[in-house]
Amino acid sequence: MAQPFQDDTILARWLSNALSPEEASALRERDDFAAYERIARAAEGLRPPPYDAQAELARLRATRLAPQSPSQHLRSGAQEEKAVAPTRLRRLRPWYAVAAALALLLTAWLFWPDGAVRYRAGAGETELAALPDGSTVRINAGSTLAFDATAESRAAELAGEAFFEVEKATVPFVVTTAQGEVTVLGTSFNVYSRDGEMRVSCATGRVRVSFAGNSEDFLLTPGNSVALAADGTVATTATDAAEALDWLDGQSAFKNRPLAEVLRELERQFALKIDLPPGLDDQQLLSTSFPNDDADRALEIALSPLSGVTYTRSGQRVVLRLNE
Amino acid sequence: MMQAEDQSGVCAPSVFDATFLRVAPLLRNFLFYRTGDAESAADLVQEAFVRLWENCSKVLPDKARAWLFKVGENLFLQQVAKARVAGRYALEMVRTDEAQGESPEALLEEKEFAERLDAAIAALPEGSREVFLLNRIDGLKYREIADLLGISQKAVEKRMHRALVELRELHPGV
Repeated sequence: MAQPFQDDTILARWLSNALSPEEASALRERDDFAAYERIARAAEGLRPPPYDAQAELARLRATRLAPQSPSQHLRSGAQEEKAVAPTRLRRLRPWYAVAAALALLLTAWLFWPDGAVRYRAGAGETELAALPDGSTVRINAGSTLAFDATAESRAAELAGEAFFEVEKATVPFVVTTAQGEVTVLGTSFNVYSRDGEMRVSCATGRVRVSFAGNSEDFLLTPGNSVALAADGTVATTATDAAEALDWLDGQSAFKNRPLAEVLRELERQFALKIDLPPGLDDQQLLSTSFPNDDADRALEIALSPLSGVTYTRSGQRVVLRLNE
Repeated sequence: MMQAEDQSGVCAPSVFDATFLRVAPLLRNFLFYRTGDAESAADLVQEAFVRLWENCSKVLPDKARAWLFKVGENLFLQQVAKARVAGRYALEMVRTDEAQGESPEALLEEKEFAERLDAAIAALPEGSREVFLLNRIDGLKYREIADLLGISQKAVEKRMHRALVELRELHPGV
């Protein structure tokens, strides 16, 4: 047995290098000193489980705080921010969510005799859906979601893009799109499924993704994404939070994406119809980020960097022209 | 005299977001040391920041960390009161270090040592455990831990000392 310590903070001060030379040499004399050194060394290799603060912030915004206007980010000046913040970024009250879900449920039953609940976010809107199983889904503009829960399954069908926060349960929650399936028990993640492409980003928990016609399963952990390209190739990457979770923040962000995809997002977000001139390469890649609440500004940000292209807008119609 | 910026608090979205990114990882770790469960710790962080938002005009940016720790701790205690966590504490820490260049026997022995240490840390009294981990894992100084937990630096040092003594006692084979 080691002798008791005279001083009940000496080991603490040893670790913070706060011992006097006399105290230090007395401590080293002890026959249990090597054991303390070993414990301190072994503790250095310990890490808590990973935590993705960006994704957690996106989850907070998507499910607990109402969406904020992106123009607040673009404008600078503390005074403006101060004036708008408290009313815009309000906590979503449960009764509000329930009422919204009930309203949707009523319309849903009129048209869907099989019992599935159907949600839709039209052009220029995002919807927060409270599913009957307690999960919440934020649905991006120009997307539809159908949901049906039974004792054995929780089945969601998505066309478009949505961020899911799934209530934990023993029954799996499966999101089916035209290109594949996402299976979880309880977690949060983003699914994008448009024009033959599908991208899934995991925010918390674990997510299993499988694509139609591909026997491989992809298991995602927080901060990871998997993408199916229109040509059928699959790639797993670290999530670019700015690109995958952009819309929760009221923005649309693109990194090296074809112009055609950017234009379709502009059409969805602002209910626009965009006409292209013959000869314009709509597969050229660009990186851009525009706010989802200001069409003129978004058009200017997205289109002005294109060289040799001008555009005019009248109402919901936008016409692009090639310069001579 | 009141300071002019008192009224702004953390309501500005840019300030609120920056506060989240700055404080949430540490607060999550603190609550993880309490709950032993990463998921419920992350949920408590969400809850704490909802409270921060509701009180955003009353909390100064440089006081936000201490305020969030207080709220986070209260939320944790409410959860314990509902008996959702009590009685099945297991700290699922991750090991990142791989000992290298040693014999297989030495490596195995290091691994077993580390596993027993994990179990010993999980068995520490709550007060000692969080002081030990906040200092060793998160690199907080005793002074900072004292401010966050609302106790004296001396009390923090005593808990730290006791943590080491108990880890040695709980850890057979050292």
